[in-house]
Amino acid sequence: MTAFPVVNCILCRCHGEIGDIVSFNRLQRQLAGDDRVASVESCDALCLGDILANLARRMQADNGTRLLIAGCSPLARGEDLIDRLEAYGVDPARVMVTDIREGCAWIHAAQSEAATAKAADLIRMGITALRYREAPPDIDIAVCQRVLVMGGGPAGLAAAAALGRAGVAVTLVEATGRLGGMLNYLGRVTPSNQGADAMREPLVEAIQNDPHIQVHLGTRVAALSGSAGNFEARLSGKNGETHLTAGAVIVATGAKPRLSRGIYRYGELPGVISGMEMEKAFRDGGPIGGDTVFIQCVNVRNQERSYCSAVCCPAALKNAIRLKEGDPGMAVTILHRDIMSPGRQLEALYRRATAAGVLFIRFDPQEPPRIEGRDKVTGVTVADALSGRERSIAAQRVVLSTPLEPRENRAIPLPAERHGFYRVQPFLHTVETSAPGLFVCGAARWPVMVEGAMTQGRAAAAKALHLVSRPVCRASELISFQKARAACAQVLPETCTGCGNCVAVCPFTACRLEQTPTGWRAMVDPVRCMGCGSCAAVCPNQSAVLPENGFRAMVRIVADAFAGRQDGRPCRTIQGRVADQ
Amino acid sequence: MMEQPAQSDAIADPVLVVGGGVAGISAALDLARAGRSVHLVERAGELGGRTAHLDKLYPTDHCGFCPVWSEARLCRRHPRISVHTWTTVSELMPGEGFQTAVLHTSPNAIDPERCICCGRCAAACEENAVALTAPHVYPPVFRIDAARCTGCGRCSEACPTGAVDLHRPAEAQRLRIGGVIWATGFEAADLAPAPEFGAGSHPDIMDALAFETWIAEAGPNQGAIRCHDGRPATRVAFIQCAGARDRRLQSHCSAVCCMHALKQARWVRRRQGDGRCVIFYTDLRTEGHGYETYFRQAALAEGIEMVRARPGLVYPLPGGDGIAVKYENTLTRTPAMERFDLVVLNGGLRPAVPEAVEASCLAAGGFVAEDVPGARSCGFCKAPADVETAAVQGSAAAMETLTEVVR
Repeated sequence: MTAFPVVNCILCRCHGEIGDIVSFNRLQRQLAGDDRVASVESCDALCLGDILANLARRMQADNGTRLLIAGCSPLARGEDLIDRLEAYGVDPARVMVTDIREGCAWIHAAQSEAATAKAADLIRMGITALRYREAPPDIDIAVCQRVLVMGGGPAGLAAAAALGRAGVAVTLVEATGRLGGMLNYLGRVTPSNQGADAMREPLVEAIQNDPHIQVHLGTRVAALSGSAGNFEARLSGKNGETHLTAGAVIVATGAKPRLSRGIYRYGELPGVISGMEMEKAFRDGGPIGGDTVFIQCVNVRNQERSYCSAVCCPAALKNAIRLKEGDPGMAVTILHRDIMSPGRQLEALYRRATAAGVLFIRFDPQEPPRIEGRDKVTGVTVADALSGRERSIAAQRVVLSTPLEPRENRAIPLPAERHGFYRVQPFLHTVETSAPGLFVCGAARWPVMVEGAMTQGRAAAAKALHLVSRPVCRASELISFQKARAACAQVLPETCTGCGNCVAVCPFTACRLEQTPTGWRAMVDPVRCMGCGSCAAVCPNQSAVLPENGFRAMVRIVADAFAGRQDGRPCRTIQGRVADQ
Repeated sequence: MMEQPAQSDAIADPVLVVGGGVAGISAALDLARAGRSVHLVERAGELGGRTAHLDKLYPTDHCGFCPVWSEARLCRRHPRISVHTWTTVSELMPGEGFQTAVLHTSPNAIDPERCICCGRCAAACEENAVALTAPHVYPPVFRIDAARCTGCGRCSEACPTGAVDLHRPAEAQRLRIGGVIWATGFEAADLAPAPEFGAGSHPDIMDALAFETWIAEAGPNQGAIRCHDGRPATRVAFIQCAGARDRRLQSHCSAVCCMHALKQARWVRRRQGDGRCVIFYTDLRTEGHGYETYFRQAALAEGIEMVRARPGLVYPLPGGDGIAVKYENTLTRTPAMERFDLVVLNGGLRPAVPEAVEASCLAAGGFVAEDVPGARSCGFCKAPADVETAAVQGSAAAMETLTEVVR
């Protein structure tokens, strides 16, 4: 049996906030009788004065001991105390804070007896947790200081250019033979109204002139494996297959505009064209005449595809204005559900379209417009939702706004949400994924316009820069929203039966099965593991554990929670401890 | 634990990030991680901005405070980030390759380093001048309202740690900086030019941010949906674009209000039982990440009524009989007048622009322009943005600032 570390306790009165309610004499008497505790002290306010500095000095002199602080919540000052001890050079794993203020003294202020009993229970549980706490050493990851950017569209170009300017080696892989992505297909870019080529040229030039950036055109990533710091990619291109190692990967593979044949007689009736064909007509610069009707929300925002493609309303507004500007006499109509022009510039675009004389007709998705014409388009019939009347609009051209659809790429080991866009972390981390080191930006993440995609590309570059800017990083730093991860899971090979439950539930694909001489065993990748504990929860025989909150420790903590109350009387001397049996 | 800087720019001047909301926090953290020193300036007493004060965030309905809280802590703990709370930038002067910023820190009578959050000062104050800045921000931040304070000194007598000093002076400091990121967010627009909404005429007509606090689980009603006189509110109306997309106030769309209303309406429906909850909208803008699904599955399934209308008149009925809303349903073309218990005006948000931003750096609508030499903007002060967009823009602004200097 392993030797347990010695625990010292310090109780904080918090200037009477705790001390006036909880009986410190009784707590101290109990702890003095507890043979797991080497020393007990009380103080008025641990966070003020030099008590903490003295404590740190003593802890450094006496390397094996651990310290339990009973005081305010870790959310208030508790965690700061650990930080400050760490600043003095004390290993934070040796310290634990038990909250006896917010969760005890304050909420039980009227019941001093019960509060004291609860404080005693909490401290007893804290001592057990601290004794059983195992802190496996952190893992140093040798980081390959190169970033792989997948996709040479606006998002990928912006990410690569930013990283190149920061001096990071970048490999940019583009499946087609030309950089620029959607910029190669658009006429002008909303909302800046800049020509797509004028926007593309300086971007591509910056990439080509940057010595840090290698560009592989006509190349795909055929396989991607590994974890943060060391991703292995198999690139397949014209010159065969090559292997590449990268510390971080930015996925900017975009989305594809797609219209199925048959929707609104698309592909069957001349004159019914897609939004992308409209863009091509503008790019080719040919004269565009004839009254035009745009139809929005084509096969999106319905039961099957319940998302808004975000780019189609601005595109229709932009092209409608351009048609009107080219020929003010042309009748241009936009049939829409809700006009998606949020914010400042897009709303201004909407107003400009109205001012230019574009006609807007709202329709109900239950009564979609009908295309008229036998061998070519002659018009559209639509039930105007606002006037309640059916209207016939003569038109030589119907433009179906083309929604974006996610691209499927089996090589990218990332989970997708129900429509097929890559799943990202919420709120402040939306270019990050469940795999540290793998970032997603642009329309691969969600439909987005050129400018937004470039912003996301630069944001992803910032995250990747943090990872690859150092030759060695620590596994515990990979969670960007907390200082360190809780712990890394472990699987005990002696008892693991290889059932695979942990592999099925791990949200970070850190668990895998490996063939060993004695059969299949689960293994945990210490770099991918984020310490969530899902594996420990589903393991049928406690082989998968989080060292911080191991099964043994948890059972004993729970047992200790009730140890003082076996005969119903609160605050007995500590007895019936199952902890050390 | 210190990371190596990405480049040999260790001598580069620190970056001034103005605004401690999600955009500012993201920018500050990404700059600091890349090796730059950062001064993060926040007008209020705690980091987190508007997001930290939200009871729930769409589209996950998570608590708004929690995700920001961990980031705010990272900022406070990062060795390269200096956080200045209760501070504004009063002046910004250009120099040769650098700028000088003058920061003004308003006198903070309560020393956060010594405060143990016991609240005895608030209990001792007879004028209710000492109060929490927000009910659910933890650790709690107390603030003395100078307008109410009589200087009686009871609070400083009550304080067990001597944290209260009513005569602490205001501080000003000059900093040499190399770059500014504006992330000052938004504020509620004045609805006076649109009197038909009845803003300010009755406490049960409130804006969406006030309503968020009113129904917050940590708020005055502990999550119950009530009117100001204590009656349960069984009929709640949300009026969208109240103060936005309107030439009299501001022509932009505030971009966050459609989802904000859906989120609030959803919580109202869940808590009020069989009452009514109506959203008066013009265009329902659910173009963001997962928003349409939220609308269909989360909001419509809760029984929220969507009415396409822009009410022309909102006024309190005499005798405390509720609020009348007069509107025309533009899809059925039927004018109607209905009585509601609570009316939420949603949409009037305008960029918060600090004085130190020169007029030449402002874009149309009062937003802070994006690319002024030596300065960038991100978040709502650049263009209407939700939490997700603001955070992405913050990171991108950090990257632009970093590479600009390296280049």
